[in-house]
Amino acid sequence: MDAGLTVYTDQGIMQLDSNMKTATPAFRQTYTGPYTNDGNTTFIGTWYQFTITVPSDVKYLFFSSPVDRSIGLMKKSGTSHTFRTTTQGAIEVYGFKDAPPQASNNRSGLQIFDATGALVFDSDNNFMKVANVFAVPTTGVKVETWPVPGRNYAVGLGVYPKSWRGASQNGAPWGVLMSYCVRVGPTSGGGGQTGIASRPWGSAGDSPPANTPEASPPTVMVVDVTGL
Amino acid sequence: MPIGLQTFDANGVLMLDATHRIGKIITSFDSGTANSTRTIPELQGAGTPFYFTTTDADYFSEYIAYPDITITGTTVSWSFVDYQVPITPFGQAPRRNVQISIGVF
Repeated sequence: MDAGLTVYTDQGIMQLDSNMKTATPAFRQTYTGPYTNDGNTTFIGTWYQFTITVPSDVKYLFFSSPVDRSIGLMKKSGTSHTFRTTTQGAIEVYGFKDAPPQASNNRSGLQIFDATGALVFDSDNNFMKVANVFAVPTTGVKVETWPVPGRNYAVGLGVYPKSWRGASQNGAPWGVLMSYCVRVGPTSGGGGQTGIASRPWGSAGDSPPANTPEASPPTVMVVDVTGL
Repeated sequence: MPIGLQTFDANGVLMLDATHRIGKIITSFDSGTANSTRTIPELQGAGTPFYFTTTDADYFSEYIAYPDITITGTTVSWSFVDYQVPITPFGQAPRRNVQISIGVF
């Protein structure tokens, strides 16, 4: 490290130093509705769609939920983000943007500067605290319990890669849109890949569509949002 | 008693609790739409590396080619998964530029 502070913890080492890129809170919304449902459950179960407006400078988006649910991005147009989720009810949405900390005027606390004199940490500033990171599986769901009981966490994927899979029902071809999704609930978070939309694909007797390649699984990031 | 560092704001609110494991983002950059690599010297000995991809592009990704990303030592590599779109408009799925954030945990 060029400059900064190294903290030795029970689990290893943490560095607050010039190699740290700070993301700061930039968006918070409690979404309670409305939800829409197109009535189609073939191969995918029930999904509810909702749209939120997210400031354009938000780079990292995370979700928390008091009930277990899956969430996947369906469409983004400018600042309009349309998601699908498996149950209705309140969702907490947190956004972070790349930004350095702002120097506080308080005469107590801790500030850390890099080798050029730029502020990299200010104890009065909240920032994106990465509490866990792991890869999403290509099949099924992987969730991990929140790291520290009593604290609040949110989970995000960043991107939600999709692929089509062929299927058939009563001799008619269908396409099933598979999507990587967040899985989040009151005590754990993670992600996986699941069918998020489907539609008939041609006429009876036609072949189902060929599967399109799957992108590699995205990384789940869990952040500590206590106090935000 | 755990060891580490806790910082509080002026109101006494716990802002940083480094008695628990905390990851950090080291750098972010655009992938572009070509397969490529980048060396991140700060990864050397810094912990378990991870990547996190985001995109600020408009998004309806039924047919988008994303890059596969790997981290080996201090080298980040990305390679797009190309394929042909099976229905109209057909053709090769467009590659999507993503922002790759590299961190350690």
